[in-house]
Amino acid sequence: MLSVFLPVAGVSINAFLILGLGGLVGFLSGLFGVGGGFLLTPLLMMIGIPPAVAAASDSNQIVAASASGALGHYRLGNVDMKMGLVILAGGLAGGTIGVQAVKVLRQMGNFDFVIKAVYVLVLGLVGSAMFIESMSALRRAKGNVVAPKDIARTSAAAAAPTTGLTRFFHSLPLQSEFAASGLRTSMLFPFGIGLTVGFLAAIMGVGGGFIMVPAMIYIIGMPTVMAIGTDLFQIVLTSANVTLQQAMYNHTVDIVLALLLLCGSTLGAQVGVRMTKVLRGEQIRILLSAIVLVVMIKLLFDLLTTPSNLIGLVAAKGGH
Amino acid sequence: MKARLAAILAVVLVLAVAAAASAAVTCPALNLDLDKKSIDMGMTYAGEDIKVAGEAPAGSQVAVLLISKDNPPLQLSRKGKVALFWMSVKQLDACNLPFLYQLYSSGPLTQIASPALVKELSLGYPTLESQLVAKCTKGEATADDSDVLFKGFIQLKEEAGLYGIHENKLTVGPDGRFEQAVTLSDRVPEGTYFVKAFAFKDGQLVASGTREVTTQKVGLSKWLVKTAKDNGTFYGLMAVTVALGAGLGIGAIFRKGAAH
Repeated sequence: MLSVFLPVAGVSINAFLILGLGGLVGFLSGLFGVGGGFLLTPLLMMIGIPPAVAAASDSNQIVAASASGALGHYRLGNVDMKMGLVILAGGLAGGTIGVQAVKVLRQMGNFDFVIKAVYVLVLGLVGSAMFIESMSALRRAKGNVVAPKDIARTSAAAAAPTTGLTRFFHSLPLQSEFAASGLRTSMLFPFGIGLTVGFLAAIMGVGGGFIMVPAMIYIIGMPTVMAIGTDLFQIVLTSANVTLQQAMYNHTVDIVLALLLLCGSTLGAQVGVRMTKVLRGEQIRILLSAIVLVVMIKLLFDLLTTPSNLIGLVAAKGGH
Repeated sequence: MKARLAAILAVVLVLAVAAAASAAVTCPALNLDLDKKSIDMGMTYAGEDIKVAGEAPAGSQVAVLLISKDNPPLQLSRKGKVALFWMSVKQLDACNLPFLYQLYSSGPLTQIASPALVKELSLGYPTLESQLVAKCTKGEATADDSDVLFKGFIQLKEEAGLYGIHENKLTVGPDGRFEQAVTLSDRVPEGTYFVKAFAFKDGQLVASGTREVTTQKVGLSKWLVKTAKDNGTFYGLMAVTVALGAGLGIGAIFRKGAAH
């Protein structure tokens, strides 16, 4: 057993355990375009990493995993830079408003309940909707009924149907061509999505990839792999910013922990990216929805069952 | 004359009280040796066993205690049920409890030392529980806070390897010699820790000794902690650069691999 001492966390951990956790989360990141913080931070806390260090170091490794995944997707032509930057601008604005909302909610009290209820609700809705849609898409595909526009896009892509919201945004000003995604819509549309998801992500204390990817697919109408690649691109920038802020103000980034995690996650991310070539869009969405639903059920279970210890360490919020 | 007598009596009384007080805390020194007095926390540090060797009066029962010197309050949350859901309902500070507490003894504490000594020397969980001060910092304090807090606190500490009561684990030879490895968890911060040994006969303290062990970060481990604390901006930029380099570098390696 190779133990390594994590100086900022102040604990000694089996290096292979950290590498394995990083690999798992990197795989999910490359495959689904999510940062994986909603899984990794609780897992790190479970193996004894202090909550504040777990959240901050998680952000640091996400920079590596998402950069590796984003580069892989960029080479496959799956990153819409223009869309990513507009969503990022919306996400930063939404995040700033969300942080202020968190302050107000904390002053009102019972913030924990709000955060967990939002988690269960959002994960339940997103996971269920994606699962149902993907299953019906899979059935259609099995029946060889493929929409012509899907054929025009990448082989792994599957587009969501045009919604009333999409049509509404087509009528708004600041219309722009998003060539990589094959879309023409108002810039206000992806900005608004970024704003909403950024707000929710700040409330929930995560980066929001697991909300952003479904939002890009189902609301904006981007092809699945394009949404994944574009989301990873914007995650690189947001997680780099979070890492820097955490290091400057909280001193909770453990670079040794992050290095071990990112060694595993960058390798895992490349495997995940390659899996997107093997799996079809609807299959990827089914897998992501299954993971989202499992996390939601676990959270709901934790909320409803008597905990083994009524006392816990005061946890820090953060991660992606 | 009466005044002089009263003064003499007062002096005698003060000396008697001082002698009694001194008798309560001092007793013959117990020969005590540690195989290390300073522990370096480098990159491969994974906790450390400290070998404690000592010589107690023949026929004694012995207790060895590894305990932290600095014991800051620990911020904890208490979960409660609101409607159908379990959630954190209050925050509590646990004060007056040691950060590290590992106790090894040659017999059950209640049998080797008198109840008064067990309390005076802070031996065993019941004594620690009586010392606990629970401060409710968020939410409404209730009468059972201390009880619930202590049980949960012990569970957390034992799971982290920071607390433990190991009765009957220590063996004392007929000549009073004993040797015991005590475990310093990897979760302890830099600082000073005490190894205390107590020898009891017929429930009374007959000898005691205390030694200090210090832990400190060294080498890369020390530099990283110092840089993270003193130069957060540089440390943050370094962390982001390393992460970007690793992510993009491994991405490039994969591209080359895929090209062949």
